[in-house]
Amino acid sequence: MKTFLRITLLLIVSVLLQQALPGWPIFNNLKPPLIGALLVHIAFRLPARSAWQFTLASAVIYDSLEPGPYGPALLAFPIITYLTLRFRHDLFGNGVITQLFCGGIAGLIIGSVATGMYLVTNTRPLDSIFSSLIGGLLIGALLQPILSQLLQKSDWISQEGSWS
Amino acid sequence: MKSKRQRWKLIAGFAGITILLVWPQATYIGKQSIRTGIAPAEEIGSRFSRSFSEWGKALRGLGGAAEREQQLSLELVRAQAELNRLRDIEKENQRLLRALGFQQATPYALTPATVISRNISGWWNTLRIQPNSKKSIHTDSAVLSPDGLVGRVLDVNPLSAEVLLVCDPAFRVAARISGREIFGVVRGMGNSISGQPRVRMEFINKDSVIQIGEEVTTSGSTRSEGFFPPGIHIGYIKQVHRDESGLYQYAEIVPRATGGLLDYLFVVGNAEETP
Repeated sequence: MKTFLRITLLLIVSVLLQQALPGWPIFNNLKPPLIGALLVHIAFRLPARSAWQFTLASAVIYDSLEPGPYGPALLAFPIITYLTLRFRHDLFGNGVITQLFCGGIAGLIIGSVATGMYLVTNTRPLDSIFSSLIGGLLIGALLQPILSQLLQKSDWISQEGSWS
Repeated sequence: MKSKRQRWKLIAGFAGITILLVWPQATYIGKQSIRTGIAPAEEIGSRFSRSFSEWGKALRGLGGAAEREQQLSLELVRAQAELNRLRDIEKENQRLLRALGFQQATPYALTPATVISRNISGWWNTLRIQPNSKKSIHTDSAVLSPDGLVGRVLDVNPLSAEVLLVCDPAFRVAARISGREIFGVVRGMGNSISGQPRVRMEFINKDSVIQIGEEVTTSGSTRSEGFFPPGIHIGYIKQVHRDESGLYQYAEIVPRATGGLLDYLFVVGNAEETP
C-alpha cells in the first residue's frame, strides 16, 4: 500500500513537472521524458504485473493530456516495459551506464512512435524528424541516470514493492 | 487457472486500448475524465508556482496583489481591443454603415482564465487554462492576453480548457494589415531554434505593398460556437516574401503575445452570456 501511494504520487508529480518544464527548441521543442524515465526505473524494480499496471495507467494519463489522438504513449510505453522486463536480469539496473543506455533507448522509442503516429494521422508537420529522434535519444539518456540515481538514493521504490 | 485469468486480463487490456485508439467517443470520454481528474492537481501546482513567483517579486520589492494585476490586465485587454476595433472601423463606419444598413458590431465579453499547465510532450504548442468565473467557454473562441492574440480554444473540459497557441502549425486565423484593406491568413510555424514563436501571414495579394513593422490584426470571423472578433493585435510584419508560385505574398510576423505559465489570459465570449 505504501509503495502504491508513493508511486502514484511520483506519477502525479512527474506529470505536473513534465508539463511545467520548458521544451528544448533545438530538439523540435521536445520535453524531458520524465514519465518515460520513471517507467524504465519502475520496470527495472517492480514485479512484472505491477510494471504493466503502471505502464497502462501512465500511458493513458500521458495520451489524455495530449491534444492529438490516443496512441503515442499507449504504443510506446508497453514496448519500453516489454524490453525492460525482458532484459532486466541481464543488465545491471543500478549502474549509470545502463541507465544512460536504457533512458536513451526509451526516449528514442517514445520519439519514434510519436513520429510514426503523426506521420500516419497527418496531425503534425514532420519537417524535423531527425532532430526529434536525436533529441529523444539524448534527453532520455541525460535524464534517466539523474532520475534513477535520485530515486535509488531516496529508496522510494524498493525492489520488493508492488503497485497493486 | 491463474495463467488463464492473466490471459483474459491481457485480452481485456488490449481490447481497452483498441477501443481508445479507434473509437472517437471513447477517446473523448477518456480525455475529458483524465483532464478533469488532473485539473485540481494542476491548479495546486499552478498556485504554488504563482505564490513562488509572487514571493520572488516581493523579495525584489515588486510585490503586488495577483488579483489587482489580473484586473488591470483585463482593463488593458479591453482598452486595446476596443482601440483597435475603433481605429479600423470608425473611419469607415460613417460612410459605410448607413449605406449597408450594418448593425453596430456586437461588443464581446471576456472571461478571465488562469494558465494551469502546458503541453506534456512538446509536440503541440498548447496550454491548459482554468476559467476564473462560471461563464461558459466555447470551442474556437479567441484567447487574449494584454499583449494581443494568444490562441484559440481547442477543447473544453468540465474544469479546464485546451488552448492552441498562435505559433502551433495547426493554428489558422483570418487577418488583415491594420487600417488597410490587405487581408491574409495567419498560421503558426512552430518555434525557432532559439525558442521564439514563428508566425506567418499567407495569401496576401501579390500587388499589395507592405511595410516592415506594420501591425497585423484579426479581420474577424465567427467560427462555429465561438467568437473571434476583429481588431485583435497579432504581431508586426518582420519580412515580406513572394510565394513560390508567384501568385501571392507571405510575411513573417513577430507575435507579441506569448502564453506563459504565470500569465492571466482572457477568453472571448458572446456579450449575451455576460451575467
